[in-house]
Amino acid sequence: MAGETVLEVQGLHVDIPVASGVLHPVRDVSFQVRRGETLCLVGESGCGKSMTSLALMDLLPRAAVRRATTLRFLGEDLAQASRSRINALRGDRMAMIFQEPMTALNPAYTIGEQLIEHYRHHRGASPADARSRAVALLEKVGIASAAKRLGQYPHQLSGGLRQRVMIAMALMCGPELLIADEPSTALDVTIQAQILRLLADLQQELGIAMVLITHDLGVVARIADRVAVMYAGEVVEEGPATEIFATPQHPYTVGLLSCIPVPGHTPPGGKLGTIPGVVPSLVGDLQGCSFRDRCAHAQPGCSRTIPLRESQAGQQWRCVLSPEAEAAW
Amino acid sequence: MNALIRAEGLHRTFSVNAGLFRPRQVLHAVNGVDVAVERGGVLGIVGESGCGKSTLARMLLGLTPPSAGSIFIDGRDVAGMDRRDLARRVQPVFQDPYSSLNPRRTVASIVAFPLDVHGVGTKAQRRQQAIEMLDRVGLPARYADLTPGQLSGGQRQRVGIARALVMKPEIVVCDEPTSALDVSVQAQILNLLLDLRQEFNLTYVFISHNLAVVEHIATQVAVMYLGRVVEFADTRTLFRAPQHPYTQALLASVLTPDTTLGIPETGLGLSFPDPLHPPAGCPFHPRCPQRHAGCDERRPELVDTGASRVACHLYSAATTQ
Repeated sequence: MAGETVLEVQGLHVDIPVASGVLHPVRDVSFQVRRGETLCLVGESGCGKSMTSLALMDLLPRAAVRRATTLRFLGEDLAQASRSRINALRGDRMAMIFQEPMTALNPAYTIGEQLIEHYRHHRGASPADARSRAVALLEKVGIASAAKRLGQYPHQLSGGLRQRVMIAMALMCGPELLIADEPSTALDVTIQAQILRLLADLQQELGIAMVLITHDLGVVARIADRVAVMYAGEVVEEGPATEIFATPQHPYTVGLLSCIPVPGHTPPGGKLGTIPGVVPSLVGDLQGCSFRDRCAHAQPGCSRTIPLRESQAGQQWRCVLSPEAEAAW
Repeated sequence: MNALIRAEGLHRTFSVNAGLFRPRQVLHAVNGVDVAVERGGVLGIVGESGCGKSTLARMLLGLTPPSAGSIFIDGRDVAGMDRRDLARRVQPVFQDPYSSLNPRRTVASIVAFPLDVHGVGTKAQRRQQAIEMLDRVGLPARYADLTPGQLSGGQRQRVGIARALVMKPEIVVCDEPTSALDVSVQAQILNLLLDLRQEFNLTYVFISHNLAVVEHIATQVAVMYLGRVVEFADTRTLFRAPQHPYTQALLASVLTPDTTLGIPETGLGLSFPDPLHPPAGCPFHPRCPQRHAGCDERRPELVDTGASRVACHLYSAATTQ
């Protein structure tokens, strides 16, 4: 059940000056996430999904410039907030889980020290209180012998366990927004299912708004309430997951779905769908639809402003093709 | 089956550093594996990290000698084979297109290199063959003098495939060839591999953790766990009626893009396998939802259950002599 809007993003841009001009890895990205809801940002490499999450958490590279029409967290304007305010929010009410559990944990400190550190910093808790909370959260994420684990170092744990520790760390301060960047990609497939289930269960129980970034459409289908498909820095299609998978509208989304072999559906040994061409350069002035060089339905109108289309069920996409024309193919 | 490549009783152990002040321990990466592929087939080998599939691949390629056991190609034991003869018959495609190509050489020289090593034709002829093979894999002549740094991941993987095929081998061992690639690029590479298999009458050993990809490309599948094959069957049989509890969990974990299904429950519990200290008896039993008395005592052997071969006590008791 979705509740109040926790995160509201409108017109987010990230620009980075590079040798050959200005790179635009994130262009006019808008979405919102409500309490108890999971939004998946999905796309292939270079689409800007990770950069978007870094922009939200104010963790962009120094040279990057972020601007947004709206960037609100529980009604508070993040774009105007001071550095100290962002530091107070980050890790406390807005938490992030990174992709590689192997490298995201500090190898020189015990699990306990890493779990407790920012909780004591944000909440001023006593060591005893922090410790008992850490044990409670480790148990919540399914780690047995939690008290013993506090004294262990990251290298003594498997990838799946490290990822659970990362999740526990993210939950220590009771965040209202959780951004998970490819939380299960580096893990074995059986562990992946467990970690995703854990995230989904925790989200329901704690009423957290979650933004989950992935390139894996299977993950998206199973866990997302809403989906934003990203391509070349833009959100090309957005809407409820059921709608996007049942009736994808944007040619990129359609192409992406046709590429995946699905056991039991795709004829074995047959041809998989492909998307010819490569992602265009994101440097310099960019006009019109960035997918037009790879789209089977490209028209002269694609190099000008692309209309935003909307369906009854709340699905939105940018394309010159009208829904009737789309339905025809 | 008339096997083109056959492995019998393969073992591979490594002596590893178990920590400061501890004696070195023995890691049994591959612990008694028999597999075979017939000419023109695609053997898919699936398993998660630590199962030994990459070590098995290296042994099939002749890159790592087995600690025990033999590999036969068309009936000939590779142990006695000249290194170059083996290379002419078995070639690799590796996972990481970024580290498997020499960044300082041009694409054409990378693909021509096996021809150089084997002394095939003149320099001009080798370059010509390389360019032709690059064209076959979808990289036209203008790519010939670029370096890997100027190519995308998918393009680099095509170079790797061209290099593997330029000597016209019979067997190609692909170790996670699409895992590092975007989904749309993966589809192109898989289509290419299937086309080339037809055109050159190739036999593949295809190692992957991605079951959906294996289901698409393989004719037979071997499931590995902690150094052993726990199930072996035709692809259709394995995917429709998996018998080993690990195979069932593995297949249950595959996340198909179906919004009605939610997140699967694998029933595997939290313990994870440590290849350095494999459990007694059946290596899977601590995680097995169907374990029973005796599973921690005796190691199950691979037995025939009709359409499959399974190493599980649920089935070994059922076979009658």
